[in-house]
Amino acid sequence: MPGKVNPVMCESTMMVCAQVFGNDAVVTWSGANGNFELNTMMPVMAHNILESIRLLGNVVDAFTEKCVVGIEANEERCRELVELSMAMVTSLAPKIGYDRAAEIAKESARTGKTVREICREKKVLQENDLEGALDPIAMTEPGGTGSGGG
Amino acid sequence: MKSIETRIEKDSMGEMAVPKDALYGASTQRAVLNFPVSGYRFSRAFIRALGLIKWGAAQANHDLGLLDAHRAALIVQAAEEVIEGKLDQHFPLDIFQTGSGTSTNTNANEVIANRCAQLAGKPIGSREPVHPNDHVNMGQSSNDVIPSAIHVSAAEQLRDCLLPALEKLRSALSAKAKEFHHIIKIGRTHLMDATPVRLGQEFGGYAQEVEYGKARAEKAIEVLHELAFGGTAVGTGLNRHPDFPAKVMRHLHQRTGIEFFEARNHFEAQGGKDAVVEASGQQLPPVSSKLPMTFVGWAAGRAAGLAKFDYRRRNRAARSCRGK
Repeated sequence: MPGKVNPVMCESTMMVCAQVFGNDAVVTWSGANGNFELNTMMPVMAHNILESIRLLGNVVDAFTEKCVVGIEANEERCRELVELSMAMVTSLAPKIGYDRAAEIAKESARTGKTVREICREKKVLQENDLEGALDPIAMTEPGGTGSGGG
Repeated sequence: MKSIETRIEKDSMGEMAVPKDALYGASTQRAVLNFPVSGYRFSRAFIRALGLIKWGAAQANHDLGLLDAHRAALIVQAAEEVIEGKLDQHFPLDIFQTGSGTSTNTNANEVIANRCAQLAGKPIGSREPVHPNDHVNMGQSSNDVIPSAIHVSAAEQLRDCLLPALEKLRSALSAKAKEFHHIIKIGRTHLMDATPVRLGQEFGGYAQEVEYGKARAEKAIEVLHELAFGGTAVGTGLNRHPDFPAKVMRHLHQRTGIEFFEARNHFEAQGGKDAVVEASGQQLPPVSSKLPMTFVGWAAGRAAGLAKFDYRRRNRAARSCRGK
């Protein structure tokens, strides 16, 4: 597909993770299989632990350099999804009660209206209080009372 | 197929045809023929560690008056070449060999002895002036050298290869945590919408996770400080000077900057390899695959998915750690 950018660095990293888990299984099994005065599976332990360290070191470096430092947030999309989400109703619960908040959430899911729209229609709170309760920034800090959501 | 020119080498088990220019000898060649299994060879990091041990042992044996100055100097010079990787092509053995790694310890002894012969103007295979067993392997056994080489190489690699990469990742995530502090997004638990969270808070969590991963890697290095060296064949220390291990530890510490010390109990150090199992396990948390999988999830889209963030194309080359 023209213009498509895939998360290739993540995929490379995840394959290294799989290899490291496999190497660790070999090291663990080998560690359990010495006998009497000597472990007799040392070369394969050496090979696997050193491969794990090297692969991890290399891929973490590449992942950082070619993925993490270049990540840009899609701020508008983030804001839009917050507004559209019925999870917004959680901060209303301490003010209007859990059951009533759940009803609003269900209505939002059924009708496609946002939590804010339903609250305005039903006048569940004064506009000022509603704006305060549905302020997503305030929702990212401790505060308020009631159930924490989950 | 072009036939390889050979020379005849002799050891305690008899004669053997060895490639003409190879610095290894009859014992190594026997192992080449016995174990044509995987093609996986010991890595640069491991061969370096073997060189370090032989280098330290020659100096310690000389300090103790057991090895004359001439032979000690030759072994130190040849071992230095092993450390630096100049003789890697003379380590041909497969990983799937004897479980003690004896073939590879012998390989190192033969290569160093033959390189000493070259340096002294004697023919390869003459075992003059340096004998692979009597001088290069003096006071040692593969049973204490190989487990020590695993510890030394893994500790160096953790410090030089993994830790800097983890620090770079931690610092990048930490910078993103600040950059994204003002961005509000929907949280996600059970993959479902949850209450809002700052994108910066999420990245702060990832940075902390990597910080702990670094601490675990550092702990792994510590576990590897204890070396089996000095136990010789079965842990009793037969055929080595009482002060030999401590002197070798001092050389290894000075050279690598890592505080290696002689095993508290040599029977544990050779009978089990729990320290290596532990060190390997300490790598697992940072590779739980969670971080890359999270990023794949957030970026899913663009139009039809979460599309929380974009990957900017970058062309800077990443560093590669081939294993010093």
